This record gives sequence, structure tokens and C-alpha cells, in this order.
Amino acid sequence: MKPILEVQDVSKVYPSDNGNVEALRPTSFKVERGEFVTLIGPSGCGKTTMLFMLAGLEEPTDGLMLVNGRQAIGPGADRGMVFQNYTLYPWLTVAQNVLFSATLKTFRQDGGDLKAANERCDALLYLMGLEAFAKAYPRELSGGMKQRVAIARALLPRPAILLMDEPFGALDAQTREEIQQLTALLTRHEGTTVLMVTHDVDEALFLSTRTLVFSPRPGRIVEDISVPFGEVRTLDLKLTPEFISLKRRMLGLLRRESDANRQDYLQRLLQVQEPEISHVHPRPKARKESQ
Amino acid sequence: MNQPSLTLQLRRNIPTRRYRVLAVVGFALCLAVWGLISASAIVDPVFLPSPVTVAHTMTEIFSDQTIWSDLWVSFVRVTIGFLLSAVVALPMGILIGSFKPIEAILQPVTEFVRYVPVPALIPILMVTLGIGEESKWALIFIGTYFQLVLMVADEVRRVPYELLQVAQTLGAKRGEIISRVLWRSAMPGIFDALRLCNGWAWTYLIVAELVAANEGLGFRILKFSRFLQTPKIWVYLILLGAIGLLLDLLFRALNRRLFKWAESGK
Repeated sequence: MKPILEVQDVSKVYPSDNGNVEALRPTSFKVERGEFVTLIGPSGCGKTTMLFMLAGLEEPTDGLMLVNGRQAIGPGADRGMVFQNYTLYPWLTVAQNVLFSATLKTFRQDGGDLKAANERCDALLYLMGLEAFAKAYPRELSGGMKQRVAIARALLPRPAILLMDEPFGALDAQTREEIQQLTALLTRHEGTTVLMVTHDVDEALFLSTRTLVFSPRPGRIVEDISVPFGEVRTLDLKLTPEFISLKRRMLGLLRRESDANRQDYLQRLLQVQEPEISHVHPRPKARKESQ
Repeated sequence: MNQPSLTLQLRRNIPTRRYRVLAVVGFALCLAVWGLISASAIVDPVFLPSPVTVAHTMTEIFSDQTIWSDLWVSFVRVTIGFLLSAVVALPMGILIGSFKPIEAILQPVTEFVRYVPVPALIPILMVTLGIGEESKWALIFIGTYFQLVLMVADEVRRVPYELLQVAQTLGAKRGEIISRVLWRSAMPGIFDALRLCNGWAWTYLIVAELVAANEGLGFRILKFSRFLQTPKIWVYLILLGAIGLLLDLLFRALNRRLFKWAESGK
């Protein structure tokens, strides 16, 4: 069977006034149906850029992205997206937010069944523990609830891939664990393929079946780690020696990469030290003090 | 515990009741200052009549038919001019706020026209459109359109970009994003822009009526001044202020009713 996602030599370069900024080196990977893949790395490593390119919200500078063997160009409901910030439509109720995709032209053109969509909306809200809030407006919800609605909204059109950009970053620890478990349950139940960006090692290991570790900018994949903790996971997993040893390995990887990066920056800083310092402290004054 | 504190706390809310009481106090203070000035006779009573005189004149004026017809004529003028302006400014503002090339073509020109003092256009308007209703609608239109269109565009640009991106990932096309996300999200702000522009429309109405008219509130004020009937002028000024305040409150109440969702939650 074909992989659900194939990324071939995708790179991203941002043009800027002082030359081009390379955000992502040519990157390739494949994702099989039903995998839960996390992209992890320091900020600015291009993992979010990768996700936005997959969502069709940004264009790759080079390379090819195939979803179900077909090239993905521009955004589409086959790649659902959950954003880091709360992005519910405040003028729509919870149910209307979840059903948003089913009220669009593309849904009708693709022969979508509104009644089935309504039932699916009810089911998703029920699974997310939000059935009592179907008619509530986003301003009445807590942060965790908003993000659960956003996930339900992205899942409604049954996307081939669910893309998530640090979706739980703004939540408190307890809410985060709850919603992590819900997400795992729901996506496993539906067999959804998930790509999630995170910088939280615990989260990556607890949720994913596979983790791609990115280097600091310009980003590239430095390691492709499979996370062999089985299908059903409980919070106790986080306390097992296997989990902790894998966590240690990943933290080591991330630190090594950022240390290397820091060394690089230090080198560059030392090279420009002289003129930099003279700007900050006028030389004559410094001399006077030393005498 | 529930003692109202008398200290001024930065941006802290106060109960609605106390807010209203203080608003009335504000009006009462103005009235008191006015009364004191006219009683001390610093200003010639011909120019600043006492509150009592004005109150008497008010009952006189309101028992006459003229003020009602003036009010009606002015109201119709301002409403037509304002509606014309809104009907054009809303779609144009949405286009300018949605598409950068359209913004580049229209916004700098609009900014330029916006800084041309509108009353300076009156001679041209009278030459081209005459001294009938059309020139008054045109003045109100010009006075409000160029402000409103930029305010609408601003509101559209203020819609968080992620709300657009979400719509795209859910399968929405350009037209749907404009009508179902940008417009919907900007609506409360646009409604507020309409409220402000309505106030300006009244200003330009009076300007137009002061220059050339044979009925309406502005015309009447000019006529009173010719006969040095200052108490009557004051009554009309107070009426204009009251109309403005009333319309403002109406717009705000409507805004709250229509856009409950936009109220800041927890």
C-alpha cells in the first residue's frame, strides 16, 4: 500500500533584505496510514514551516509533497489543521464551528451529506465531552474546551491527515494531559494519520508512534525515532524506565543539536566582538577607569 | 466590604448605576457653570442667555410646528447621505481590506481626498449640483465616505489571519472566506465605524444647511442669528446634541444586541 504522505526534498528559503534565510534544508520522509508522527525541535527549526507547507498555507521553495500519491497543492479539507492559538469563530456556536466545513461549496460539490455531517458532529462533540456545549459560544468556553472544539472541527471532514501545530502549548498541565489522552483515543479510534508539531518531549513520546527530531535553523531531520509503546497508553507509561530512557535519549539529541548551534553562534560572536564592544562602551571612558 | 471606594482605580469598572448617576452629575455641572456665568453677567446676556430663558424658549419652540418640520427635513437629508455613503463604503472597504493590490490603488488616493477639508468643496458642489437636496447629500457623502471606507478596511485587516487559514484548511474558497469569515468577524467593528460616521454626517449636514437651504436645523440657526435670537439658537444646539447622543446610544444598544458573541468573555 502506498504511504499516505510522501515528502520529497522539500525545502523552504525565505527571501529577506540581507540575503535569503534558509528555514528548512531539503527534507524527505514518508508517513504510513494511521501513524501518529510528532515533529520536535528547538524554536525556529522549521518544523512549523513544514507543517504549514503540508497544510498548503505556505509554498515550499522546492520539493514535492504527495498525499495519497497525489500532489498536494494549496489548502484543502483532506488536510485538517489545528492551530496553536484558539481559532474558533466567535460568532458561531460550538456545533456551528464544528460543522463549518459542511456548509461550504466544496462540501456540496463533493456530494457531502449534510445529515451525516450533523450526526458526525454530534458524535465528535460527545466523544470530546462537549455535548452539553453544542449551543454555547466560544467566549463561554475554557481554553481546553476551545481546543477540543478545534480538533473536532478539523476532524469533521475526515481528513486524510490531521496536522497540529503545538495545539496544547497554551494549556495548563492537567488540561493538557486530559486533552492529549482524548486526542490519542479519538485519532486511534478513527485511524486518523496525525502530524503534530511540539517542543515537549513528554508529549511527543506519550502520543506518537514516531518522532522526527529537527536540528536548529536551518532545519533538517537529524533522527527518526520510532516510539514502541503500543496502541493503548495510560499516564503511568510516563513513569516506566523504557519511557524515561527514550526521553533521556531524545533530550540528549535536542541538547546536542542546540549546543552545536550555540557553539556556532559563539564562534561568530567572537569574530565580531571588537567592533561590537566599541559600540556599547566608548573606548576613552573605559580606559580612564582602568588607569 | 461593599463600600464604594472613592479612590480612582486605573481602568477598574464601576457599577452601571453609579456610572449613570455620574453621567447625570456631569450634565448638572455644565448647567451649573452656565448658570453661574450668566448670573455673574461676565458675558452679555444677548449672547449667553440664562438657562431659565433658554428653558422658556424651549417650551415655546416645541409647541410650534416649525421645529418638527426642520427636524424631519434634516433627518431625511442626513439619512440619505449617510446611507449612500455606507452602501458604497462597505463593499469598497471590504475589498481594500481583503486585497493588497486594490488597497495600493485606492487607499493612498482615499487618504489624499480625506484630508481635503470638505466644506471647501461646497462652492464646487453648488455649481455642479445646485442648491437643492442633491448638493447636501453629496456633501454628507463626501464627508463620511472617505473616512468610513478606510475604517471598514482597517476592521477587515484586523481580523486575525489564522481565522482565514482555518477556513482554507476546511475547504473554503476566496469568496466564502470574504463573506463568511472576514465580513462576519469585522461586523461589530464596522458597525461601530458606522456609529462614528453618523455623528460626522450630522456635522456636515449642518454645514450644508448653514450655507444654502430654506429649511432644516442648520438653516434655522442661521436665520435666528440674523435676528439675534440667541435663546432660540441655544435650543437648537441642545437639540442637536441630544439627537447625537440618542443616535449614539441607539447604535451602541443595537451593537450589543446584534453582536453578543463579540463581548469579551472570561
